[in-house]
Amino acid sequence: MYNDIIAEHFMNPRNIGELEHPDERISIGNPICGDTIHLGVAFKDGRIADMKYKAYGCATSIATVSVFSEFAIGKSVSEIRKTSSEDMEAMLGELEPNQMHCLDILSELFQSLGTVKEV
Amino acid sequence: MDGRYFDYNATTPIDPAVAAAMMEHLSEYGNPSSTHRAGKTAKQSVRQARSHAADLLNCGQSELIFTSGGSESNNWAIKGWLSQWKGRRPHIITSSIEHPSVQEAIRYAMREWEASVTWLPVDGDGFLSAEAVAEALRPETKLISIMLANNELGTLQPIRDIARIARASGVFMHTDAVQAVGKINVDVQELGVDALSFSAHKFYGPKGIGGLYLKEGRALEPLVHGGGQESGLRSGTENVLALVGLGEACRLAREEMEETALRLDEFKRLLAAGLTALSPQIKQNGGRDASRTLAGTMNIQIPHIRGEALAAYLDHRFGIALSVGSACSSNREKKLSGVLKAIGLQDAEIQSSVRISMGKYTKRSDIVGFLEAMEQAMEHFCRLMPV
Repeated sequence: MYNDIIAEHFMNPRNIGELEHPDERISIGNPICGDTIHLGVAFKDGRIADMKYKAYGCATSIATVSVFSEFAIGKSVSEIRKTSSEDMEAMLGELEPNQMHCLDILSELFQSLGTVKEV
Repeated sequence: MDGRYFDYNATTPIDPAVAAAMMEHLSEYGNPSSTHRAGKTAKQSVRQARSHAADLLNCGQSELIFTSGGSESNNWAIKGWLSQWKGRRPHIITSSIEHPSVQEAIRYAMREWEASVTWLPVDGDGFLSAEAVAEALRPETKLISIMLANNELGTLQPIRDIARIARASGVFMHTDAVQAVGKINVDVQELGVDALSFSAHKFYGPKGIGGLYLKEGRALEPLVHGGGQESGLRSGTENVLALVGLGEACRLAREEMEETALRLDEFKRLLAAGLTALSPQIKQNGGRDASRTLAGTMNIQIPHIRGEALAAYLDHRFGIALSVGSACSSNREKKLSGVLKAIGLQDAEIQSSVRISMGKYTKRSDIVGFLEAMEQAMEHFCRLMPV
């Protein structure tokens, strides 16, 4: 039901929490399924130095933001922007049809972070 | 048995005695319709299964037709009865919390035979009133199909009262008793129904076998035409091995269910108290009246935690099996439990709901273990929760 990547990140989500002084705040949500993610980002020397989040949603959506945070920390915004949809798909592994909406969540996370002004 | 299994309403483990009986008959290959010795041995096995099932339901052996299980029995009772009114707009009374095999069979009758339907609502606790059935009756009402025990909430409907109303009006009364048979005393004479569905795997028997009680004198359109097995109503060589299992499961149920129900009733109270102690925010869905609910079934909502995520966590970390009230579908739609909707829960409440169902192998220590696991799970999700 859950692939190894999703199961591992869902059971041990990385980077949970809230940044005290984030440079950027990103909130995304799906009004239909109710998934909600609040993300704080801190930049240093043009790169994402830290990222923390709080999330409410299904197991796969929680795993998705964890996977995203692990990938994004240490990257520059331009690197985030350049991430292809194929790479995004690979990050979550093989999903079941009812988990595919998490690809949209991941894509939205990339898009939201890709549009912030680099600090 | 696995003490982390809390999904007995989905299916039950096969009782070792059932498995042993089936193993003992594994080498019997005779066709019950054959007249030689091998055939007679198989026929005797089928006869014995029918005898045990009839004892459990308190019906005549000739009133039992074996099927592949609950869905087939439900489909057949509805379609097999209504087919005589094809195109004559028969009216059906049912509830809004029926199993999909009842709902979809009724929708088929609507599409194909122009049937009209009254979907009776349930109250906030998941109970239907017999008076509502009486009020819904029309001259053209040909079928009442109401479940005995609800799979998600465990609520028991007043089938005896409804059947009395049906009898007084000459309307055929079917009940889906799949979740009740083997858990509570189901006596068809006492209930007074015309047809009743049951399934062996819900009470420690094998999957793929069940039956339909059909009151003597009532006739259904045959389901499978052929060699005349099952009184000519469902032809096809009998699934002898599965029937041996069903028979043994029925025999054991008669012996054990009362004691099991008493124990589970106590466990349910223990569970309710433990969950409230964990968080007063945890709410029980549906009725709590022990005399009108299955002892082993509890449906709860845990605010701010998605039921699906909770079940996934408990499964992966502790191997605990639960059932959930909603599932992801896509960005544009979600699959929410129709039963929980019917009792008036909001979408978020349904998404936060899980069903805990216990059975005869559940031990007190399993409840304690479950509560400890729940405590850890709630800590996990609290860390994630947006304020």
